[in-house]
Amino acid sequence: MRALLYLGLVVVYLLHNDFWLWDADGRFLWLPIGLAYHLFYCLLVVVWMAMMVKWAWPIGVDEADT
Amino acid sequence: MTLGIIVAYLILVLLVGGLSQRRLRKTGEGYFVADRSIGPFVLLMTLFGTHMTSFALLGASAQSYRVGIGVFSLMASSSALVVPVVFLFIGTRVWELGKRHGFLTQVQYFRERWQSDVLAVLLFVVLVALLVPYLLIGIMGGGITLDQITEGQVPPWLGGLLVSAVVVLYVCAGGMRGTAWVNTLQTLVFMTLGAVTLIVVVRSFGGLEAALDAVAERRPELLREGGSLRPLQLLSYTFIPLSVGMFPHIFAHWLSAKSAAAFRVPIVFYPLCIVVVWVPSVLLGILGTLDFPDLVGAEANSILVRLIALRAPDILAGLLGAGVFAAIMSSLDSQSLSLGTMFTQDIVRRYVYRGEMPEEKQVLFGRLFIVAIIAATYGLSLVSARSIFGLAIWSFSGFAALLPIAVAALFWRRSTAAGAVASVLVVAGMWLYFFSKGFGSADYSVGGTGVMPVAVLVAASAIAMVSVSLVTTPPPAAVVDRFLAAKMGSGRR
Repeated sequence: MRALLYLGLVVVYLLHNDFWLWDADGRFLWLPIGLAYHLFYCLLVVVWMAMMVKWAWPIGVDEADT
Repeated sequence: MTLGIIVAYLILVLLVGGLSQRRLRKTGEGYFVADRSIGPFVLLMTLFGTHMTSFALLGASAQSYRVGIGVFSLMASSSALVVPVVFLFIGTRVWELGKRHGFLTQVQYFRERWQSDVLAVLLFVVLVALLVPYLLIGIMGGGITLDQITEGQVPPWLGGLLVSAVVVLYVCAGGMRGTAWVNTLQTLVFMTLGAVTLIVVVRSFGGLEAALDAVAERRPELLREGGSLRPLQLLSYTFIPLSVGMFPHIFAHWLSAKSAAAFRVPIVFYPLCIVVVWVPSVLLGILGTLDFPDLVGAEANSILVRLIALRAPDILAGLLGAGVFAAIMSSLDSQSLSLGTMFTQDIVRRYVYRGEMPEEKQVLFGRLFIVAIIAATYGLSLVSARSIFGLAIWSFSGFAALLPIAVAALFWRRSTAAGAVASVLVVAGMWLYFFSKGFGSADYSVGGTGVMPVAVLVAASAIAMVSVSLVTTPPPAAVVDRFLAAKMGSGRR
């Protein structure tokens, strides 16, 4: 699971570079499509980071708590 | 009325800062890292507030006025990904090491990690040199904004003085705890302000769809990402938010966390905070082109102020002032506190007291340094030209370029002090070169390719770190084990 999430993180990074929307004029949910894309991109990061903290939490960092 | 709201807000800030003093324990750990007791929500608010400057309100709207929605992908959504990743992989580990070894500054950590005073002093000088312009921009920004919002009633020197005085009072009073509590209030204020302003302004245009239709007719390129950006610019700009991993003030907030688990909330919700602040700022800048189509150069910096003056009730102008002050002070306080901590811990405690500095003296020196740093920066702000605002991106680039040092310290056993020193020197040299070529040019890129200098700086820093480490003597295993073995699944388990 951890390896999968790390790999997915690379994909999430690549998705940031939305060159295919570079010259798009349309709207999505009243917003310019490029802005809407990046708004939903941020929400995707929220979901991805939630999975990271649950299943890919750094090993050993909680030891200083005890 | 505007001035009244701002003054009322500043009094509220001082009250919160004053309240935090009741919980202050007068020890180095109590004053500089709040006894490592900050919980998840306050950690999120204070990290976000510290990272976001007034640029997120005024600068973002000014940039979108000039270049359109591309600003969001360039500056906001890149941070939404990179910053939480840095918190997850670096912040949690730094916290763990800080708690285990009692570190109060990042220089202490790097010195112990590589057993090198040369590296520590070099890093200290570079970090301070990169941070001071950032502080200066905050104080000057406060003065200029207040001057604009009050239409000249409060001159820039007085506004800057007001910001400086309030920050000195609550940071000296409450230390890190006061800073964190006040930042929580300030972050909530400027997050709310952006959303409220957007709703009010959009309604006055007859709705978002109608307003954007009007923009599409006059300036359609503002509604396209590619209207003014180049693909390589977008790609290489993602290196800029790496700076968050080497900011001394962010480092200090990491150390103040109650537990590693406290990082979970900031890691998950940081991108959401970005959306709440940046989407309104970017949209307001674009809508501003309808009412003020001909602002040129620095005039565009006041687009949000002008838009509110034209389309919103007076009370919102006052709240905007409070919001901008909140954004400025929530960075300024952490930066001045971290500089005070560094001067006290890395210089006075280390070299004057040889490590044996009484706890109360640490607090006293911390406070004196904070007053001295802010007073000196305020003095500088009175004689500095406004062109120094262009320094911000260069400051970010310098910090980002130092990140390979933190990564090597945390993850690479074979890394050496010589490698880290080489990395710092390469960054300093190349940074000065790019700065001499590009300062003053708004869209400078390496060789005109669209590649931001920061990408080259990070690569050069990493290469210097690796190559010099590989040809120098590895550090003793016993030393490395103190910092790496426990986390890497071997040794001290």
